[in-house]
Amino acid sequence: MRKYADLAMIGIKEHTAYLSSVWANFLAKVVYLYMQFALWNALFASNKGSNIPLSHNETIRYIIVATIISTFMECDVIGWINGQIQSGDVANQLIRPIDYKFMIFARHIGTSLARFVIYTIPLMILICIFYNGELFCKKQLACGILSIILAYMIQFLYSLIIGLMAFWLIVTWPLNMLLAAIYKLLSGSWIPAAMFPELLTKINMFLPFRAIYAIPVTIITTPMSAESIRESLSIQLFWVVALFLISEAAWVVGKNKLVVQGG
Amino acid sequence: MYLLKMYRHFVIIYIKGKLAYHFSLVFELIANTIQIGVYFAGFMVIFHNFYNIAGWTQNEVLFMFTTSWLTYSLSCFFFWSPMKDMGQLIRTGKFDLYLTRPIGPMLYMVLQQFQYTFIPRLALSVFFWIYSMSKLSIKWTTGTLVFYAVNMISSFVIFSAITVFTGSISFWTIKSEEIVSLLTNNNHGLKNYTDYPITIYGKGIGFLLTFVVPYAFTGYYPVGNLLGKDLVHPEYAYLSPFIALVTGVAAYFLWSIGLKHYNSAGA
Repeated sequence: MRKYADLAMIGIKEHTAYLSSVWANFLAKVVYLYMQFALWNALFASNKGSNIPLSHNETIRYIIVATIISTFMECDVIGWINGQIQSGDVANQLIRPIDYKFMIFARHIGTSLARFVIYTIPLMILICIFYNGELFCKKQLACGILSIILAYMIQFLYSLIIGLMAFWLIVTWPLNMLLAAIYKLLSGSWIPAAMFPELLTKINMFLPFRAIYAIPVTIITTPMSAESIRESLSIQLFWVVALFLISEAAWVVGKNKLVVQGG
Repeated sequence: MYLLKMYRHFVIIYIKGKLAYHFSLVFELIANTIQIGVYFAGFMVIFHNFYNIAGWTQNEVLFMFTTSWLTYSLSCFFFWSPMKDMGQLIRTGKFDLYLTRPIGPMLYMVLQQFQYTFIPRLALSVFFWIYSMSKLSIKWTTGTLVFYAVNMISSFVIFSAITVFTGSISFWTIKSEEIVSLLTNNNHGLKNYTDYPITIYGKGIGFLLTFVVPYAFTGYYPVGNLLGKDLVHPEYAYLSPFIALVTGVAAYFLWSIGLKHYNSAGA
């Protein structure tokens, strides 16, 4: 356990090394959140009385919570793994007496912790000052936090799988960019998933993206029946198991394929 | 004329260099297409449930922001890449290289490259621009046509001037990437604000987008006037050429002062 804590510490240190960019990143989050806030407010204000799947309040709560979660959820796991495989550095990691995936995960947690302190907490304070109203459904908060933890694992496993694609692809960034665009739309971090047209909702049923933002954010912000919460959580659980199995398979097959240039 | 010749020469070399890795080039274009395509898809999803925003219909908003995107992509062909790299060039001292050329460093930097990654954005903008125009019934007369054309040129100048501004800042702070990202990032940039009528952001941001970072003059004011929208300040619609002149001259001076201020990073 100790060694993983140390790795997490490395993640924290790496992330806080460039403090100058912290301000810009934080400001970017604020700029983004305000744009979302103004946009949805205006949309609801100018379409009173039309039939919209989410209420005004729910939507605003949704985008605020989604932005808060995004401050610590996202991390450059894909980039790390791509980089290590492409540079051959992964060979150095493989000879270490700890599991590669857990090592990456520990570093990921470290980065997330750093981000939580640097971005999430200040952003939450800022929101508390400017947004008066209930942000969370208190009754569902415990389930919501559980759901965030599951979402965090799904996000990590997903990134791990995409990162491992570097075993097969020489140039990985076009795939990353493509998936990032799809991820942005389908995960529900940008537009509440409840607003999607039918076709998109159907496609999304078969993909893990919505389990990362749409499900946890909905549990936290929208009152739901106990049954649908259970259903949502089991969907997440399914994706954790499925992605874990895929990542294991990708790792085993990919490792055998690995040829380290000049190694 | 010789500039055009030189530009052609440079671009051929540049594209040849890029074509050496033609897979990467093709992927880059595909990835960009999807990225921009998803943005438009998201826009459609937002308007799937709503009919208008602040009195603008979906197609009116689409027409406004594709107008602005069109000129933005054109401006970025020339200015985006050199200005984005300015911080890096100055940090590493590579900017010295440009000072030793027989033509001005700005001219050289603009001419030596062609930012083809904006082609998908331009193409999709043109597509949705035409689409939105076909849905709207704009009465094109000579007057409105001239008005629209002049504003297109103005917004090209405004976008370029802002880009040059952000690049010139690197002469002093040596790290302009963050400012560039804060303004133009596809997710959270300030430029995204102008994809929708700026009245939705309140007075403060409206002021910011009008007088501090004059993005509003690239779309909202002129297009609002053209579509006969109720603008808070209708007279602003005619200010775009003037704003373009001011920002253009200001950017030019900032760049010249920066150039004088520049001491090499050593080495």
